[in-house]
Amino acid sequence: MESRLLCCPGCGGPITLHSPATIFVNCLFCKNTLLFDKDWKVFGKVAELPPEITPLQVGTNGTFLNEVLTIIGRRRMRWTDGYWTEWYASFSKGKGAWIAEAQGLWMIAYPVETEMSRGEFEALTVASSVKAAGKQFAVNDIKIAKCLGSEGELPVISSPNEELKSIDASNTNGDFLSLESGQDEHGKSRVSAYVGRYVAFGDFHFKNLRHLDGW
Amino acid sequence: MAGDQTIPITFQCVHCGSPIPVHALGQSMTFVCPSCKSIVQEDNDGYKVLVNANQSVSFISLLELGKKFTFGGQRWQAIGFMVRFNDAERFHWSEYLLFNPYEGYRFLVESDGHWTFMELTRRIPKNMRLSGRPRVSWMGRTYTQFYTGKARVGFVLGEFYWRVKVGDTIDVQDFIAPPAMLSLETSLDEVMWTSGVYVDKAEIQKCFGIQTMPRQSRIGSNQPSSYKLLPKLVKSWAFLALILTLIQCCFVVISTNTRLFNKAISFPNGKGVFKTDSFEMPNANSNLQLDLSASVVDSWVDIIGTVVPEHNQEAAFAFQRELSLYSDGEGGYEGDRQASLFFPQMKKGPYHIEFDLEKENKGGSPNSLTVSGILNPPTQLPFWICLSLLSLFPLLYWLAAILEEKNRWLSSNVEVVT
Repeated sequence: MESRLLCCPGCGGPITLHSPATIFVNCLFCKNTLLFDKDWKVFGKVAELPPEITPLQVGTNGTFLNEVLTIIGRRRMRWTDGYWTEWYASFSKGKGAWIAEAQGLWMIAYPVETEMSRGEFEALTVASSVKAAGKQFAVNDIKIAKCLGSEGELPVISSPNEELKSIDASNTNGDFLSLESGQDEHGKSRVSAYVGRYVAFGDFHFKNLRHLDGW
Repeated sequence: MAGDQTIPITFQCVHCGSPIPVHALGQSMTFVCPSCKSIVQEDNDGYKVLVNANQSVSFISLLELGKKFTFGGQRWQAIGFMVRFNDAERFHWSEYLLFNPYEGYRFLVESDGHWTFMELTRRIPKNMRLSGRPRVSWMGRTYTQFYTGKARVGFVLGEFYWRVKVGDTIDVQDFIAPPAMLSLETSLDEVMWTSGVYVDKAEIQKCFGIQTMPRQSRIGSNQPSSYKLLPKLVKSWAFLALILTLIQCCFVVISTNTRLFNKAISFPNGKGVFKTDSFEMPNANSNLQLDLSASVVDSWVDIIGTVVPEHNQEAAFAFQRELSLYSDGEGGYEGDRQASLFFPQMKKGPYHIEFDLEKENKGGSPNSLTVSGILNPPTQLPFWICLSLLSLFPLLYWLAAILEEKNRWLSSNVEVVT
């Protein structure tokens, strides 16, 4: 993993970036969020994340399918009936993936190209069938969520209170599809697709986990 | 374990002010006050609001909530207890929510004293188009629908990662492949499959430290059969039966099985006598089979025979048989047109047999009787006796297993579609 050094445009503090995909990062010194759009600019204020019981932290590393990964950022999401956390993992071979932790389930998902229009996305309902990355899926749930805040570096804008619609789908093989409406770094509306699998915690062989009291 | 006894984070009950513990911090959405049993949820801004001020019924959680247990090699904290009702069929069951921050959530379901350890799965089972009860296929196994009905939340304690309140009602379907089970919960905005496996109550009692276990009044829906030796028994039976058959085949092959005589004796005048040619019993242990047949219809033939050892005529012995066949007036017939006699272990030497025949004196009586003698015929009887003895226990065992399955499906409310 190649890292590069960024000088915070807000306070001049040093920020180490670990992923070439990073466009959004928190400055630990001035507590500003920074966005890359042609150049790094101050985007807003860092939101303090409420406490939660999770075994992961930024800096946790592991191996998934023989590839070394490091957790470099996360965003915490809240929808009407619960929470979930999306951890961004940078892999040794350069690509990145999201590791989602929701309702006790673990998922890994890689960004894929999608030609789905916003209209098609909005028309999806529970149990609708949907195709992505050459696989067939059925919609499990549709959630309106907002971002509570983020930590570390991320490949998407993750500013507090940004609202998005998130659709999870799966199939008979245990594949996982996440569709998300949101904005790109230029403020344009888009549908993003992530495809991966439901996995067990043990599949990641994590090290440098957060200490959990009583566990 | 000292590390187990961490003091949980608490918040004040919005109804009575008592502390409500939070174990799955940042995940639980619904909490029940241990003091006043009020149900409190987080609203969309993270504030705690009252949902049910009191619960009209009360149940006792068999698992101590907040306590950690080791089960299946993993540590689990019991954090929630829920009693759900099927009002139409008037029964209820208990569900315990188990939590581990690494492994997630599991559900321990107790129904009629039977326990199933379940977990959420996003691997969607495939529907199978078959006659009979609805079936699904999942991870290479076929599950048959056992139960379908409503589930209404009647009582809750502890904390849950979803919004729950008393009265919430959803549709539930259970599919079984004992000891495995699949459960489908359907609501407007979610389709949820859980998969699980039956757990012996002794293990539950040991692992979760339960004093008094609920009684089991019948076989559990996904309880493994008590007759688990059946497949082995059938295999052993088939193996032994095969060996027995092979042995019998050897006997048949090595038996002399020689036809000594075969003769149609005609006696058109109602009576007749006949004497066979002399035949030889080759050794001291020879067996003789005598077959008699006559095409009687609504008549009889009486046969008196005498087996005569030619070197020792005083040792001659007689036998008597009657062949008859009469209409029973209902389209069927009673009686026998043939008879077989078996003379074991005859002494060595020449023999002949004399027949003295008489038939019913009317039209339709047969004019002849066929007699044939076979030296050392292969004997079938010992084979069938051995096979019956061998099959007796497996057969009873199999019947008992069938009976148990029948009992299991008696408590299913799923109709068989033809």
